Amino acid sequence: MKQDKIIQIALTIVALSAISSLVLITVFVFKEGLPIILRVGAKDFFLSGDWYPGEGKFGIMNMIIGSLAVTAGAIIIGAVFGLGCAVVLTQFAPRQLVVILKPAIEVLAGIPSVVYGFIGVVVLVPLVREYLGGPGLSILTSSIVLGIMVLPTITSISVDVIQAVPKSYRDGAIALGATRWQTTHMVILKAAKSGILAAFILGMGRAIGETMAVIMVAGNALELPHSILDPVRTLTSNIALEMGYAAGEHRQALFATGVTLFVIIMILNTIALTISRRSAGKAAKK
Amino acid sequence: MDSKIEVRNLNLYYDTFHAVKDVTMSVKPQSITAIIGPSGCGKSTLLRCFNRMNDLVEGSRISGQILFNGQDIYNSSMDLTQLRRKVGMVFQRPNPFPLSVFENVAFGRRVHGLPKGSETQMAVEKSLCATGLWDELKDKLNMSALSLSAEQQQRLCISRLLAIEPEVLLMDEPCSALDPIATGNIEDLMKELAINYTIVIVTHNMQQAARVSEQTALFWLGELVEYDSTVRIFENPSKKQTEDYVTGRFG
Repeated sequence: MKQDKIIQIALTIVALSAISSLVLITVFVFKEGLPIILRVGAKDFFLSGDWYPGEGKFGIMNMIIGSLAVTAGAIIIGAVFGLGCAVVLTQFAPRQLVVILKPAIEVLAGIPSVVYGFIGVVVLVPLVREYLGGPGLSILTSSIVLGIMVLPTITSISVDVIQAVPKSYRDGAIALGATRWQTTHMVILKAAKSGILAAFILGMGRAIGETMAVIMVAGNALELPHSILDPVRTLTSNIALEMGYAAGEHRQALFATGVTLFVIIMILNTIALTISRRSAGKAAKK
Repeated sequence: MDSKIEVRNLNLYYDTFHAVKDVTMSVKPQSITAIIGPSGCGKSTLLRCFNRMNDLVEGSRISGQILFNGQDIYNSSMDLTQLRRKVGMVFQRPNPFPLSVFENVAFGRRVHGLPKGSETQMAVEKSLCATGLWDELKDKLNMSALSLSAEQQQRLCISRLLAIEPEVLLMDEPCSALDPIATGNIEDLMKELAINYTIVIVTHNMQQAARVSEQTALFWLGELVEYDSTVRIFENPSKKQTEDYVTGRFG
């Protein structure tokens, strides 16, 4: 009895420490970042592209655009290949192949991001520069690198979601004479739609938060990009690049960049959660 | 033609398990044939041979022949899509797709590339009428099929088949997820459908076989014990084993 009580209290403290560190981080980031947004004015902070910390100009619009552009590209690449992988793994590949392919894709998640960035710089950047033009360090290159990095997330969640579709749907469609492909896209993917969408959004969250690989391949220029071959700086890169020498208002502006990122990721996660809850609710009703 | 489906010396193995043993029987057109027997006797397995659904089971092997309209369906030139269009299947648990009522019924037509537009609309109406769903659902065609009652779902699954004009309906314990009243309604529907379609029903419910079918086959451990008119099977079977089973003395 007494022992139970002690363990219970100990576990509660451990559980609370995780939550409290989240609360502390949130409070700290907002406390450091919000004042400068208010001082500069939300309009000048979010809607101006002039980032000259030395002159007190803190406009992060170009970086917001950079982050969104790189993430959008990554998610397009990740969605096409990740969903493709998931469909092949669940519907078409013989079991022996699945046993090899699925762990291989999951290993991708374990490669450190600096390695992705390094391969991007050494292999991808020269290829893009030579065949497509521009400096090579660009939105496109970053999108490709990030797209590959989010593949494991999108693939493994999609595989789970597709496998959770009741087998009876597949049987029903096959028994009506549908081919495997018809069964897949007319029934199974429709049934798994909301879960797959949640996988994309979680992938997006990963892509927008990634820093190291992006710093290495995005070029980090402060100008507004005009094509996907132009270099950009993302919100995460901005923090990582400048935090070493930032002080005073400049430091606060970096925290404000973090606040922006924080809010964007929160919104994405909330959307993903809502979608997957709704689909879980539907499944429970069935 | 006096037989719609003809089974000749059919054997089926799941890996090393001999699930169907040397079965020979024929199914009369425009009638209801019941396959009865205890669980695991191979009756569902046999049914799933008629539209080659066993192909999906890894490790299943088959020998012998099944003729549908005189054609060997296990011949390599058999078009499975066409076979399954002609030989439809109703499952144990109603399995409408997570689509609207209309989309469910129109599904088969899309799969087979049949004309769209007004022709599909007519086909959907006709199929829903044939299963008695039209009056209940004509204003709710866009509703999700998953929100229907179990009986409505099973009727919808039958409508879904009728929309592609099959010849044979295979029913794998179609009432086992339904209450007695819904079961009675589906049985009435089967009798109506048997005027135009050939129906093969697998059931573990002997009363159901006695109520709806014209012929009954009793299976036991993968073997066909006896196959005759339902009246004979239930009133005057020629084998002791059949008599024991239908009178409930074993099994």
